[in-house]
Amino acid sequence: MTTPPQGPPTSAPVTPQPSAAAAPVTVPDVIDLPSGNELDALAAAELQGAQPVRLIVVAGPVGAGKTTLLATLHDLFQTGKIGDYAFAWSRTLPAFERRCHLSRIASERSVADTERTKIGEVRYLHTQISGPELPENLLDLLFTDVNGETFELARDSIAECQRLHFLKMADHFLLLIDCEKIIDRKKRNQVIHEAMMLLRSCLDSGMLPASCFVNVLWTKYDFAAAAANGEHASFLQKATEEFQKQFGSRVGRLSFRKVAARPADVDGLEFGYGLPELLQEWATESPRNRTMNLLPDEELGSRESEKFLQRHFHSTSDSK
Amino acid sequence: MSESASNQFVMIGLPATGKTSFLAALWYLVQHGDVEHGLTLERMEGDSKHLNQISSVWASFEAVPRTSINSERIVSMVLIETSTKKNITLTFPDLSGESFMSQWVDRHFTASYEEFLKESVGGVLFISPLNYHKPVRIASAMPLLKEMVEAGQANEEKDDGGSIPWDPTQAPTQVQLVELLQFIAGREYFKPPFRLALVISAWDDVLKVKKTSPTKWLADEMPFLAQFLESNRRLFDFNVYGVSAQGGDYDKDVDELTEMTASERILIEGDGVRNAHDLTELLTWLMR
Repeated sequence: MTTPPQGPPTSAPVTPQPSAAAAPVTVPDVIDLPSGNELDALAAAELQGAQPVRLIVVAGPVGAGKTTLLATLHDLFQTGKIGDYAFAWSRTLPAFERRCHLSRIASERSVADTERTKIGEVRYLHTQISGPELPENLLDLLFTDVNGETFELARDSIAECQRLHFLKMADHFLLLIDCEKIIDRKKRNQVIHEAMMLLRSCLDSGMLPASCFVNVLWTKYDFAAAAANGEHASFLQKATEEFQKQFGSRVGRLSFRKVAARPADVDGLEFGYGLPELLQEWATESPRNRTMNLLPDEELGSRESEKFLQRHFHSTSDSK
Repeated sequence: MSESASNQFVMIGLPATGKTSFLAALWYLVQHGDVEHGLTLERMEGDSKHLNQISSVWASFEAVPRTSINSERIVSMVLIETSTKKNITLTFPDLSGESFMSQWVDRHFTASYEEFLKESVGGVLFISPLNYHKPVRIASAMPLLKEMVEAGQANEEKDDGGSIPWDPTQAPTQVQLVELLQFIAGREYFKPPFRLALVISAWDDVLKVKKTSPTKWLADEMPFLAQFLESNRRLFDFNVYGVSAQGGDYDKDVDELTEMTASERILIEGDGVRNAHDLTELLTWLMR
């Protein structure tokens, strides 16, 4: 694990004097530490070190469960390993914790919820895992933290999609489809239609590489399971076939998975249903080996200057 | 182990985790021969007022006062290793738990902690098994929530969405501790492997509830922290200890405790511990 450059202390040190036992410590000046907030592209790009980084793009409309998926992954690690994989590090612990808050009793809510991602710049959440068959036993996972409105804009406009520079670096593209809407017969065709338009826009814009692994996630699957209706299963099957037909040959791999991050009380669906299998896919499968540049080319010059300034003139860094 | 080697260790712990009680019991133990111990006080040096005060309180079966931010200080002990007769100077900062909470909440080190950390070759991380936050999901706690609402215990300071805003001080303890260790390992001067003794304090209370080992307790109760340590063995060379510096409850167990010699009420359990009353075994492990 590399340790990043950090600036010098902002104040003169108080050197401990072992011979002067019980000497009072001088009134403190402070050394700033990493904020633990979501990473911007610059901080995310600095992750490339001794071990590989996988970029997981989490895409879908507002309310599809993008943030809940990531918060649940963090929550699952707090109860133990997920399959073969253990938590190893995170540069964004407070950011994860904030996302978990509304699902915990500390929030004093009666029903779990997730804070909506705010509109703004692209941000990333970070988790490093350890496990067998990983290089150096470690792997950095970067997750996009992008609000649903951004993907809705990208769905409707190639130009908007081309602003999503991170798509070019995607190892795994998760396309979230909300089963709570799928069980509504009036909405379900629209939901599939819009998901396909988003994927098409990402591909036609040239942003999503043809080698990318696309995983269609049927989120909030507990709604479909609770409906116990063969018709929903049949609808999902037909939608799967349509996805395969339209996109199967356009991406590195197209797969489908049922997910229920925080399922209601449905037999056979435990907390984080589907996530262990997803994590295993991210850990073991990557479409390519390449360096990761999350910054638009035209911004590289100015951002490099910013990086230089940050390293040499500030004592803070959002890196570990 | 030699005189010239650095024997400076950081003591890390959130509020009320037993750091000062540990120091108090240690300062008493190394001065008395009522139980065998690997390290003995060689001589007093400088100002020992703080250590003397807390060890006197400890010896009289009273709760050792917690260190406040205003009373933080560096303490040192000149000890002699019983088996080799080598002199060893041990230095610890006795920092308040609030200082460590502040690292997580306010995201800064004090400059003095930073300087101390640079020279430290290891640390002791204190964890209280009696007072720690566990993440509890709403779905798994519905009956408890209903009870709180009916009993009027629910907090009134809710936001527009009917929720209490996120408070970092209430974040799961294991997450806070992982962050404190990440802060240490993330400094540019950090030299792995950093030797880390984890102390589960009030160990006698844990054993009253169930038979377990310190390592098992950590894996069961703080799996996130346990995973972090296992995943980062090349950064942290760690060992987990259960320690009871008090020996029991001063209200309930005082008759039993006063029948023992003072140092006999100290309890330490962990991999490699040979003498269950010798706190200095932990220090010897740190310096090995």
